Amino acid sequence: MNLSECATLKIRLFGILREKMDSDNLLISIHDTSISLKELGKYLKELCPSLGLNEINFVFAVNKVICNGDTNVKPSDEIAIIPPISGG
Amino acid sequence: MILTTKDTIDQTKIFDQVKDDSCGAIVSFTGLVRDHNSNSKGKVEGIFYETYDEMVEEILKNIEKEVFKNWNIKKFIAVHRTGYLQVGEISVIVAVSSEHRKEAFEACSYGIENIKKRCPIWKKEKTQFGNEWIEGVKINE
Repeated sequence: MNLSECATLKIRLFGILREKMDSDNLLISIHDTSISLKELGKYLKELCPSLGLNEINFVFAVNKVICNGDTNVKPSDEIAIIPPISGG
Repeated sequence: MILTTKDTIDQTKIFDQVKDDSCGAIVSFTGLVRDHNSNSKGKVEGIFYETYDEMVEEILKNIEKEVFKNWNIKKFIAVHRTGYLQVGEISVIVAVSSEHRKEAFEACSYGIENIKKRCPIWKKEKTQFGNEWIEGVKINE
């Protein structure tokens, strides 16, 4: 990580996660200009235990596409946490 | 036509929209809010549907492309409700028209199965004991 740079990510929340945080999104500062989703997930679990990410089978969507942990995200990306779905 | 909507879904209107003079078949699936759920503690009074609208519409567009690629159909309509729905209201409808029934049955089945597996939509049930999010499944990548 380059500690001389930092950035803020906006993460959209839905369903039970939105309700838990009483907000449609989270703003997270990272000590770099981008971060992998794997790192972001780990960071969120430490930073926001009240989200309960350890207890649900969530994935990330980046720019409306489900992405794996190797994907790097930056502030201009639309990031969302997708908890288990139940449509229909 | 594909969309999410806060408005009541009019089944007759959908039928008229999917109908085509070149088609001998229309197959549709209609999802309704029922008054019970095996995991619920009490009688279900209604369901609140929350959607990630922009992503749902992207995925519905992809599903639409897939059905037109894989089946010889004329029209495909998929509409999903958002907001609070009472028991008996239509939550989702998929309607397909084709020259013969086989393609319409298969495309309609593919449509609803993929909506359920791939669309970021969440349900919160209202019963006499309160409101509870329905335990869902991991979204299909």
